[in-house]
Amino acid sequence: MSKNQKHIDKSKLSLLKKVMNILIPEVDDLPSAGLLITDEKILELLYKYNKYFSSFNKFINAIRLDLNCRASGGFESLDYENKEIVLKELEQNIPEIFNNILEMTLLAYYSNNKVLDRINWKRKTLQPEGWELEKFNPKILDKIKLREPFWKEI
Amino acid sequence: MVIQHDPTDILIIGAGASGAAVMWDLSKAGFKVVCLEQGSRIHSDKYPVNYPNWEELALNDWNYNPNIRKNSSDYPINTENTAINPLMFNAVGGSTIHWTAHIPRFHPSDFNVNSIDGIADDWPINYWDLEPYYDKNDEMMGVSGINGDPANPKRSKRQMPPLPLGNDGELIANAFDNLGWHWWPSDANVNSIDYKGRKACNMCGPLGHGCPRQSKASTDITYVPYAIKNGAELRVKARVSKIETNNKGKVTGALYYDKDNNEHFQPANGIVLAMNGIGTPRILLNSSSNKNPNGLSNSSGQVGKNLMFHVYANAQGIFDNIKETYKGPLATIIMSQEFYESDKKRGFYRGYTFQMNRGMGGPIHVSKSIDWGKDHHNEFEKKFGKSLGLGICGDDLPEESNYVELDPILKDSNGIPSPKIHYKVSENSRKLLHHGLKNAELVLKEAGANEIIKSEHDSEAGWHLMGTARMGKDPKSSVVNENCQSHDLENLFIVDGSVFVTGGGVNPTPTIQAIALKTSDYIIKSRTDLKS
Repeated sequence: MSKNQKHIDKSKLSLLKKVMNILIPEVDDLPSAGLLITDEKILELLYKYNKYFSSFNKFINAIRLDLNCRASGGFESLDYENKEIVLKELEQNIPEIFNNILEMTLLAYYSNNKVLDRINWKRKTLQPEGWELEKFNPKILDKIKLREPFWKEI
Repeated sequence: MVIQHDPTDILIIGAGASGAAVMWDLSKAGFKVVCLEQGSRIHSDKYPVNYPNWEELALNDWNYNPNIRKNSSDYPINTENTAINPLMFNAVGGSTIHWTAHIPRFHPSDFNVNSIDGIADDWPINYWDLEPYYDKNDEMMGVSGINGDPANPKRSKRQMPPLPLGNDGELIANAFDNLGWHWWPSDANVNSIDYKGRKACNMCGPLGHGCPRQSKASTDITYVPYAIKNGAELRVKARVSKIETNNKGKVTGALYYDKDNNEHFQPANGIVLAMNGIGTPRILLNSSSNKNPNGLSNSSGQVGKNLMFHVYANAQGIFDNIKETYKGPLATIIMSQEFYESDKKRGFYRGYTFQMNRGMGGPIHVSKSIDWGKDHHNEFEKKFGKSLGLGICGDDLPEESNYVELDPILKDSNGIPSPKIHYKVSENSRKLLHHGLKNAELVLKEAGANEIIKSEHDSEAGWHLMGTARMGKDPKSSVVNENCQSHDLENLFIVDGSVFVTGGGVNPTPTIQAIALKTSDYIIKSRTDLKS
């Protein structure tokens, strides 16, 4: 599906960000995920990957149809604990869709520079630098080398 | 209109672990070889670890699961009825593009399960038949490791010293020592020093999505370039739909589609199937005809039956005394085979290998393994760079009720019927995994883990696809003989994991490649009639 065919309703996007706030709450001086992640980042992922786009629409519909949400005037009107309860139910009832929404949230959150600075993850691209480890030291084999062969001879 | 090609001596279908090896060996011996690969050739600058969003790519375009990845090279698989999802990669190099290159060998006992345990069947070949071909493959792929492992027969000199264990590897090694249990540095097809023009590994970590330095061996860089130098022809984006036969009981060639959906026919004196335990039965079943209504090479009714994956469980330890466990190759560190051989006292048949795994790469992979919500940040803090795992790779015994069939509805982009998988984890496997997890917990505690998270059964662990066109002496109960030659069609050979009689408790790729090289050696020495 092309970008032009993927229509994304602003009210749905706003609701998704409210969900993201519960999935990853604020910490230290960082706001919760829905406040930190930009619309552009979410749209980038939704346009790029059909699995997120199709889960997004199904997920928002499921939230809007949820009885607790409807009884309270929408997800936004619930208190924190009840928002958690609604999301846990959705996680259980529509696990694949929920996991795609969670994965998209984590991708967007943990690619944000402020988050990466906070967790001290400086190596965004693993190549070409890689990492360094000390060379293998055969002394570590001293004990196990004393063991007699124990594979089963046929 | 079907495009006709000039005949070739040998047509190989699949350019992965086994097909590339056969392509090299037969072309070196002067056979005219054509290889058809449904995927494309991937340049190493495309691999995810070159990019800042490598974790996003790993979870999407490079996902291990073809049903999630959905690349144009992939075919859909019906997985509604399986406890383990099959994983594979379709490209030149096949699943060696996304493997972790941990290469334990089968034990001699793995070939004689029926004689030892009274279950399953014995193979018609043994470890010693394969040993020279394991060695030949090691030379081509390049092994970092060290001789002297008391759990296995002696081996020829490894090409390179072992990879670094790291502080985390040493911690686990000492824990095994303290418990008096076996451990040994993993043999790995990852370069610890430069080898055959390929650079030494620089420890970037996630091996599973291609290696831009070419430090990890994948057959697109180990076998294929040499095969092409020998004169072998490789056609990519060529998806085989059917193998044709004549009324003399021989295969005559294969029909395939190119990337533009044009249909071709490649005639051949002999055909080698080199896909995997799902792709191979799929093609055989799709090649049914009036003469072979149940599919090709299926007079035994065994094509598609006895699917084995290896059962997998994982125990993850969280440590205060280690850090930066994302540094270093993911899974080629150390292994333990203390509980590999059968022991009746344990209450289950056969055994398992412990495989140490480092932390799960970058922050996104770690965050996926912890809960969302209030505790998310605390859990992340505890785990990131401080966790490592012990995987339990358990022997998976063959059962006819685990099988591959053609889905009546699902088709790939060329309209070729897709496979449907039926697989249940057996009671024996559950007992084995339970035993493994209890012991993994002891190791991690001994190493100082302050928290251990156990996963009883990993459904996303179907890397090893085996058993669906098994080898045997009796044509009534097997598909190929000891030379991997079809019982029904004397110029058809199968060299991938589908010929496995039993699965062992180790990663199968070096055994698949040794079987492939043994088969090509047989063709070179005994089937000169296939050479023009």
